[in-house]
Amino acid sequence: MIRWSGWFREILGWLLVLVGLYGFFMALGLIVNRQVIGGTVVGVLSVFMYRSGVGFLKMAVAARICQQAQDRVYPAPARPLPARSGRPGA
Amino acid sequence: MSQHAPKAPPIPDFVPTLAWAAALMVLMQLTGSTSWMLVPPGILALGAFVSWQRLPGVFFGSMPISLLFETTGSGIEDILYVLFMLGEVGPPQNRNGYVSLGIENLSSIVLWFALGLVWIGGFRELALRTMAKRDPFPGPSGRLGPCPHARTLIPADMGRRHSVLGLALLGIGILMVMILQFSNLHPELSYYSILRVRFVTLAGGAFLVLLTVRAFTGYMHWRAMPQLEAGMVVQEGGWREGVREFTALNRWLSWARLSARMRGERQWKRLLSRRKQS
Repeated sequence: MIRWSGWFREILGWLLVLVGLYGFFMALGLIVNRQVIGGTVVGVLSVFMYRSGVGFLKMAVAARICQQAQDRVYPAPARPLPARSGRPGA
Repeated sequence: MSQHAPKAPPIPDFVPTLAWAAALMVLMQLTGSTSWMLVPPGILALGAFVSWQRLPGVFFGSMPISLLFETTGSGIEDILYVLFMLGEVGPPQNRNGYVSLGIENLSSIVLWFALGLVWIGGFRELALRTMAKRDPFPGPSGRLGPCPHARTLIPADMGRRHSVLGLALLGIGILMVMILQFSNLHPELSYYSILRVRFVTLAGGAFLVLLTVRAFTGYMHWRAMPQLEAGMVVQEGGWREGVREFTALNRWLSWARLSARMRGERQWKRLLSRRKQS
């Protein structure tokens, strides 16, 4: 469960980072085309998205490292062998 | 667990020299009329970050070739324009046609590429210094537990200030050329629009490159974090995500304790008043 949420956080973090960078690029184009207010709003929102993505990434990587350490210290118990039907030695 | 600090990928010793030469060549390209003179500075800027043994030869070989093409009077963008027209695609342009991000101003793209390399290299050096100072666990990543990745961003030696200076000078030189070039490309524009375009493309573009480099270098740095640091990061993230709920819970608990205490005090007062009356 933790592994899936970690990967989900990592993918979401990269998506947010890329969307933030693209939004910032769009904001630059808007400001160049004299749309300063719109560009500023888009730029601020993009920076927030970028920061959120970076936070998601850091948390996901840290959680994955903790999970790996947990798996090393407490390995999963081996599955019990299925009970054989029939008499032993028969 | 090894106590040896991992060595950073070595930066060649000729970086400062190349940075100086590149800055000089980028400034010299102002004398040219086409964008061919941007090819040797671009190769020099590339050579400052790629340890390729034949790169100086490529640089010196590109100079006469660039000068030869310079005499033809048509730059790289003209050739690409013809190629695009042959392919019936046409050069990409924006609405107003004066933002120097299109193929018609390939020189600015080459400069942006060189500036990106400068930013990546310069920021890498700065990141090494800041990470070494702010990192609670500098040094080998496996010191507090095994880690599959090596923290190669941590520098082995910190005495490379001259390369940072050279990179900074190279960046300043490229920025100066970009400023002069933007101001000369479109004389029909008003002065303030040129200022706006210049400021937005320089400051905003540099900030965009900084954010991109920061994301990738930060990810490479976090991948090699020790277990103790990872645990602290997770705890801090959990606290950040649940601080409002924890605060609300603590307020409720303190209110419950206070109300129980006041209830007890009221009962004691009631008992004392009954004893006095009796």
